[in-house]
Amino acid sequence: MLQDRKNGERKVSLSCHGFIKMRNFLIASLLCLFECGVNAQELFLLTNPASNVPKNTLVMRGMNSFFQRTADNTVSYHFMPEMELGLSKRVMLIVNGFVSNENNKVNVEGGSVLAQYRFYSNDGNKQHFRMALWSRLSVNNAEIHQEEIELNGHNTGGRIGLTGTQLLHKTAISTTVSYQRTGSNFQNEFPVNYANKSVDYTLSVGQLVLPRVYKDFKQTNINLMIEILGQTHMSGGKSFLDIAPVVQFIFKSKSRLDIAYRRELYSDMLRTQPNGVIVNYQYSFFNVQKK
Amino acid sequence: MVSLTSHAQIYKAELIANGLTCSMCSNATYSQLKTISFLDSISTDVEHAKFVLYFHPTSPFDLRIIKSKVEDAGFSVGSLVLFTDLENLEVESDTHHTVGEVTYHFIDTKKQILQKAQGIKVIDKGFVTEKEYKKYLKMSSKNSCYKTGKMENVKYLYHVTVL
Repeated sequence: MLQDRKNGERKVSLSCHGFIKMRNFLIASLLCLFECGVNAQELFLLTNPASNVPKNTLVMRGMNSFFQRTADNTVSYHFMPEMELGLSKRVMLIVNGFVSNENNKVNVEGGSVLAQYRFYSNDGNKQHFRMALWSRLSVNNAEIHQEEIELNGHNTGGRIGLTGTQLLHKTAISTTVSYQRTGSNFQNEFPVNYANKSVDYTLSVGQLVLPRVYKDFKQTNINLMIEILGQTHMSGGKSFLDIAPVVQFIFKSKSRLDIAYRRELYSDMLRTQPNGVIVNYQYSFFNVQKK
Repeated sequence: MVSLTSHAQIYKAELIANGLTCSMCSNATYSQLKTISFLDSISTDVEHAKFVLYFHPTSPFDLRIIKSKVEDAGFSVGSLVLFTDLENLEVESDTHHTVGEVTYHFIDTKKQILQKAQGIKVIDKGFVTEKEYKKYLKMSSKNSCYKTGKMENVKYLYHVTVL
């Protein structure tokens, strides 16, 4: 990590050949998703769709990420406990915390609050188009060791975004555009040579593989998803683009297990741990407030 | 307007929710519907996002609560078809039939006698797609109660059509 900070101010992580291979993989994967012709989901792991958690529903989530530190190949572990609550049919609130194993000890580094307002919804039979506005406020006291701005676990700051989600004949596609601004992490000052504002953009596609036909709520669902996540700094123009294939299991229509591998496709900014595995488990409690 | 003195009641309704495909979404909708006090039980067809609602025989009901619960789950009503004991009732377009506190206003309905187990579909705003609502709004331009959803001295007004 130290070596990264001293020498690795700019790096291009993939060769041209590697980028073409990844691009081909991405195109093939997307084509497969559209041609398989089975049900889809929009319960994405790394982004929220424009749909909200249902009113009066509480989702408890535990997200674990195991990312490889490029400096020494050790594993950076982050645990993010999260609570999602549907306040109304249009508004949901998400609160989460950040815990890491930096410096080989358990660090409670901070937390964030996200509110999402679904302002447009056009539903049809097994289809919808929705749009939502959302904002995240994060606090973090972690050491700032990379140029990537990540308010979900690394940086203090605010983010505002717009999401559009289309469910069309059982295929779900969602995209987000957001603006975020960061600053110092309490006593850890923000490096003066780092950009503190960015535009972020994502594209997520989801597909239900099993079951082919729904019979009841007890069937295990298996979803395949691909999420593409990018960031461009407002000053300096440095960017990265990541891809994250996700396999998702839904048990008894109440709980969810996601396993993802996030990999950098391209970057010209300093990132100390861009590639890794994410394992998430969550459980939905419906009708939490009895009337 | 025809008034009935019998205790006519909905015994079941078939609800199709729009905007969802997944079983988790169906379960969220089912969980919301379960909280409705005038429903006895609910059976679910997850594949078609269809819910068969069995009404409590003597409880007063408000169909707008069903719409509200589907929306709370994050979705919308695609269709709500009622199965009532209004059999042998003669109906046609632009007639009102009152049963207790409930008034049914028939629209787009040929003159006929309702048969046993014949469904009547609720066509008020929010119970059909926006496109269907606009179609019925054109048909009922003379009847402002379709637009407002309200009628003087009527507590529960439902605009319906016979399937």
